[in-house]
Amino acid sequence: MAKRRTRLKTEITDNGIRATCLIKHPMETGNRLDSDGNKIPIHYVKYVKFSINGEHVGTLNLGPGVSADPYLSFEIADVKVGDTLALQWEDNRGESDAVERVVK
Amino acid sequence: MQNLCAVAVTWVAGGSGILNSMLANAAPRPDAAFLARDVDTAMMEVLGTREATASDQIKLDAPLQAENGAVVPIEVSTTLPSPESIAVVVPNNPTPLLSVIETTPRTGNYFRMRIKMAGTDNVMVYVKSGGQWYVTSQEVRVAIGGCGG
Repeated sequence: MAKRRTRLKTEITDNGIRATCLIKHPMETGNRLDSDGNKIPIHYVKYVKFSINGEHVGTLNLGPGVSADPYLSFEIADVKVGDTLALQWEDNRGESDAVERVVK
Repeated sequence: MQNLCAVAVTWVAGGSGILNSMLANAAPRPDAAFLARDVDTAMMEVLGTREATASDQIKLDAPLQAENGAVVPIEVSTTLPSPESIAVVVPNNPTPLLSVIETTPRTGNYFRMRIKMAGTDNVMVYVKSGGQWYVTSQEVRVAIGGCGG
């Protein structure tokens, strides 16, 4: 299975951070046809979960209507320099990835 | 084909029900809603209602015109107190529900994502605050649809 890549970066905001992630993923809707006229099966990221120091802070549930290579930003309040931001995602075929960043 | 889809959706809904009862503390993910092909089904599944109050406390930033419907950037911020849940809907897309965000007290005031749009349509953003749904929308004119098929 192809290795999926997840990038995660953080920016400090007024009262916390803005986490931005880029997930390399085709996000197929199941509506498209390949060059032979066959349907390309549906394949999409189902959720992206964020946590700070192990505490869950929010989930972005996605549908197949989110653009290929999802590029998402999400603001999280009350985060200090030195806290650990973790992100975890899973798609409809059970492929998943997780990354961690120390906020600086 | 429609029938087949309906069967698949029912099956997925049933399956997720079992899974959700096992994960008692995890919020249920509305899987069926994400695959629903009409906006009413998706909305009832997620919002439990089609009633929402228009609010100027949700700020939706989307392009007025998009050359390519495959990548339409949207940016949402809200000043509504303690948002509990946020839904992004494009009514005329093949699958109208794009995203449901479950927030905690530390999140929900700002997010940004890129979405696909099948054609010129409204982007609707619903925010639940204090048990009530609020909505804001903006029309995006799309030159080339981005859902394929």
